[in-house]
Amino acid sequence: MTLLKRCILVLSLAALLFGALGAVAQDEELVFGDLPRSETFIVASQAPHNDVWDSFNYYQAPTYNNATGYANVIVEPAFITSHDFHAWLAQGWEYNEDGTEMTLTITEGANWNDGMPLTMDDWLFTLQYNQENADKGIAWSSFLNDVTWSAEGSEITFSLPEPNWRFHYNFTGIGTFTPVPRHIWEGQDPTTFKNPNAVHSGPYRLVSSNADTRTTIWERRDDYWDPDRMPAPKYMVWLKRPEADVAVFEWEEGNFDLGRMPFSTMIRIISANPHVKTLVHQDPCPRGLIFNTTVAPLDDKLFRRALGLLVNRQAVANLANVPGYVTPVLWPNLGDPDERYYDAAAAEEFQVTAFDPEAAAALLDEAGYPLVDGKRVDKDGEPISLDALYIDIGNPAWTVWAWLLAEQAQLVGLEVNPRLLDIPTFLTQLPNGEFDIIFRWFCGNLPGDPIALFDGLHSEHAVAIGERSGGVPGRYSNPEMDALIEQIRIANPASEEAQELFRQAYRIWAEDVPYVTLFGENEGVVFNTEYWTGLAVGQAWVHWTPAARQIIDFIEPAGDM
Amino acid sequence: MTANSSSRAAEPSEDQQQAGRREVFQYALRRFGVYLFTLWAAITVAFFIFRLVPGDPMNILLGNLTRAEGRQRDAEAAEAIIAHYRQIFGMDEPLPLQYVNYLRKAVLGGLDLGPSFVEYPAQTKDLVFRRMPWTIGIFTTSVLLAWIVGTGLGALIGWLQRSRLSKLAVVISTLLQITPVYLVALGLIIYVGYTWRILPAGGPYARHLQPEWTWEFISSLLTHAVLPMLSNMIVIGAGFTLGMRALMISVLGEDYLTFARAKGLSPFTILKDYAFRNALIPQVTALAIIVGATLNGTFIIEVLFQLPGLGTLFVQAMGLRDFNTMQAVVLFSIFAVLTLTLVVDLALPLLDPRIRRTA
Amino acid sequence: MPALLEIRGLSAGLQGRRSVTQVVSNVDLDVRSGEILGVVGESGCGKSTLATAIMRLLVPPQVLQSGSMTLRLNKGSSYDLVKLSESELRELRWRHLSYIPQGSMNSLNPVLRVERQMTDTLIQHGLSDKEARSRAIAALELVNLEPKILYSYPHELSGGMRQRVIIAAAVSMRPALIVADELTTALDVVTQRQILQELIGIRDELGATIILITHDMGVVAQIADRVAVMYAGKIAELGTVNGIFETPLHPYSQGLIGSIPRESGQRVEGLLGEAPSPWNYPTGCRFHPRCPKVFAHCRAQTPALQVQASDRWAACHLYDAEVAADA
Repeated sequence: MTLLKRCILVLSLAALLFGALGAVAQDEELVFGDLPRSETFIVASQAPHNDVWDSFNYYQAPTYNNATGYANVIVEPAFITSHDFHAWLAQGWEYNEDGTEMTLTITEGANWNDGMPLTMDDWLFTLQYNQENADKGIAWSSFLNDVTWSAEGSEITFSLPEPNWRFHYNFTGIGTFTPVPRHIWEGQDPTTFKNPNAVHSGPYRLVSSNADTRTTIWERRDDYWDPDRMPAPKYMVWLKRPEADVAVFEWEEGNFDLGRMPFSTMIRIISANPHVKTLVHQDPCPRGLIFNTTVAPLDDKLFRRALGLLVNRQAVANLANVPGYVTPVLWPNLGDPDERYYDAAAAEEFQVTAFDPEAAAALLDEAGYPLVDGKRVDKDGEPISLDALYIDIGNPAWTVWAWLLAEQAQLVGLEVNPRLLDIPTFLTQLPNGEFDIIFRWFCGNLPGDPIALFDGLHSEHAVAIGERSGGVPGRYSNPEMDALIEQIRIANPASEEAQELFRQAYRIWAEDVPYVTLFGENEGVVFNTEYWTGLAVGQAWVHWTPAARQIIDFIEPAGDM
Repeated sequence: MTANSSSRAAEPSEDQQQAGRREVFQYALRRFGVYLFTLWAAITVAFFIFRLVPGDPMNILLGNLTRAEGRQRDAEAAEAIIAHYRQIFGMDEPLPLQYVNYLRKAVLGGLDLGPSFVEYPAQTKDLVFRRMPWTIGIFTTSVLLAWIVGTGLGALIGWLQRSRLSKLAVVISTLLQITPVYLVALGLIIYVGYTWRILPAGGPYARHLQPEWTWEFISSLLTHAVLPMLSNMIVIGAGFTLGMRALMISVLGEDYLTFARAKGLSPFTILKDYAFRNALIPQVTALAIIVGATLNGTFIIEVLFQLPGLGTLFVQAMGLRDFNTMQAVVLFSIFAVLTLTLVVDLALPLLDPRIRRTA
Repeated sequence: MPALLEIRGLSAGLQGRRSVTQVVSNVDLDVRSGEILGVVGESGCGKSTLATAIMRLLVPPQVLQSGSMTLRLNKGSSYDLVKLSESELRELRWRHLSYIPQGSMNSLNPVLRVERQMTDTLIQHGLSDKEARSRAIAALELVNLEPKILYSYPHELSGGMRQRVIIAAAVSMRPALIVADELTTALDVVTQRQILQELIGIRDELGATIILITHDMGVVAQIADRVAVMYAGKIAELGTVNGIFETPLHPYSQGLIGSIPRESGQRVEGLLGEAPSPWNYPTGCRFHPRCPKVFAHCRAQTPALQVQASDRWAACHLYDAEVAADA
């Protein structure tokens, strides 16, 4: 064998070896150019219609909750509320004896994702910035009206104009006050500044955001301020998923890791891709029906109570096509009723969640809505006809109640016409009071403080029909209830006194029936376990803006596959 | 005597030429007036019609915020937000004043069509200009291609009207023409995009790319454009094919075609100079008509293929009742259709000498 | 001298779903070199089908069923038009065989200039652009049109001018045979006369043979040398113009000539009834339901076209000695 031949042989062997090595190295599947699939977490977002990919401004109401995921992965609140309060950018709060002062302890040592430290200076800047720009329609400012504050060490003490035991709500929960970096925001207009580098305190940094492909790529930063809360995915990709008809195929191929899909498609995806699971999480907002109390005969509490008795919550839950996703709500708050805040005797007396058409018929007879030729007539002798407005988001429970109610109402001689609204129309007619009976969710129930159930019933919200109501838009008005609400507002919710007020308010609610509850609903998200695990049933919904920050920490690599 | 009369007909005198030029000028002026009037009428109708649709953008904005946060905002904060955006969007004025302001800004403010909700705080004008190339690129190109292919194919089918293949082609075209664009697009996405994986079936280009003049980007752009364009072309092209076939067949019955055959011209010359060219004239008019009629089909295609064009924009704007954006999309769509109609109208005399005189 | 065009047993019809409906039946006709042969008959008698069949321009559902058409040209070459292929026909057309179509008002392509329409065929037949142009101009002169006409579009011309352009186009290659179908139908009387004069001029100058298809006996009387009278797809009578106009033999010819208005203001004795359509041609002599001199034999037997006198043929049982004697 000549030298030349040997050289060729060795070279080609080497080439083969390198080729094989290269093939091994190439084995890692790449997505979106150069991101290794096993290190990338892909969220198929289904944000509403706004489509902002170049602005990461937490103050702009129209850009909030968009599909880039910036509010989910880089915006961090002072506290995250999910079952409990979790300290995040702040450590705790404390009130003085009469509730006129609150002291907030901030977390020290935090930093921004551009590497700058997050200091008390940023907190104070943001508080002042928000207060100064209150007239620009920025989201987190009105709670600072007439409030002053001072800082010492890591503590900010807020002086409140009147006793307020709920001031800390402005720092807890979803969508609350959070500091912004002074070096970025100083001198900027909160309504037009785009925060182009997406500077916030979260563990990710913006790599790219593309409005054409509707894709935002985030990369984990190693200098994140809390090593214990370092998320596992090196890359986060947030993209706006295609129409459900098309997105099904992406899910079947495992191209997405987390997202929402209509119920009907979920079943198909799960059967096509064994890695895909659905995670259900109970939505904290029970669904219910609001009655327009300005329209006869809905202005009569006996009539409203009779309608309440015609709502078959169990049947609605049974008819929803995914069993277990809908559970009837037997108390206007989810979960087991807290005896301290509600009046069991009142619930019993007014049959708060009972389905009893006979009792409803008896109540209608008693209240003066007799049957004439098979139809219930009102006080003027005219047959009663009511519209029941609902929207359709793909969950049958959202629509079936209206038809069941219409059916039951017909049996006692009442005419109820179910009417479907598109979402924009619904979102307009609801606060404007343009309805007889309308479906809605009841949110804002915080642990140990059911004020949100009653606050919206204050008559200050009973504005004229056609004007926006900020409360429960049924235009309910009851001076007794108003007095109770006003007391509840300034009471410490943990106090015996407040609990007594809540029980009284509950009794009035049960008797007057301004709204009724229907069911609690499990939201489903689709989770692909091929590359990532760790998300479990019952965790808060990942789409819920800063609450998602906590969920991200639960994600773990699926291990060697 | 006959010779004299003929010379007069062939060569108009000076006076006649001048009168003709005046006529043409008046025609152009009238044509332009109609053009402007149509634009104005369209935007006015759009302005009021959209506001008649139930749904108030401010309530939708707040409703979406509420859903996103999972809680009711306190009423005071909500009012502050609404008041601010109402003012920014000029919706704090009475409707007639809003209309006047809108027109004034659009005309005098250098096409200032107001801010958008869909991509707040982007200006609607910038938004439309950024989205328009996608719609024009996909829609106009595919309609033109469909027209060219359909016209050629239709001419051939009409010319060979008695052949079996041509009859089969008619059946296939008819079936394709009545198929909704939505189904064609979805079929292409499912089979070509996912089942056979021949071509990408979503997005304007691969997700990791940014627009730049590289081969990688351009090839990605082109491969991503194939299926949406094909969806449009199949349905519209089938229509053009059938239309051209019918025109062709009616031309084939004309006396001048028999005469052309009697003259001993080759079939190709007859097809080219006598049949095709004459059938082409109404087919060009059909192009202008179809452009307007098929715009909505393109909107569906854009949504299905996730293209950032005007169609997707309109659907998004509709969901937010983003009036400024909806109006802008209507305005630019009408503008595009009118311009194309104008171009076609101006092109017709080149094809049909009879129009040159009557115009 | 042999005929320029010798038509024997020519049948043409309309192809139906199952069968063919015969429009032209078994026509025998000799066209003599240099003559103007008028073919007359009522509408629907098959004369246009005959013209189109001679040109081999029948389009489905029209079909040529049988027969032969022998075209004998000067140089001794002869063709059976029926047997020629499309490409051979293309060679022959215009060079030797021209056609002035019925409805020639619409026979020009509205979107092409006259020049293009006159020269394209010349160029295709091998002339250079320049030759073609000068030929076209020469042809226009024959019909008293100025060369300027070349640059006009058809819609810029009057009806008479368009007709002249067609004639000019048809004669531009000096063809031996011109088939003119309803040449003057849509024109006013003055223009009609001028054009007929021009046609005679063309015949004299070019020595062309012309088959003039018309329903107008007056036109035939003005310019034709011989006349073929057609009835229901057949030749009823054939002879010189003088002969037939003076002593028409066939009762149909007699009726036709009788229906021409005369100066004397004498009452016109017209033909009774209507011409039959090809779907219900009568048996026997096809004229018998309308014939004033009908007898039994006419209903059963089809008369053949027979020589009756010098240069005179007629298809009528009246002149069939044996049959007439039986009657």
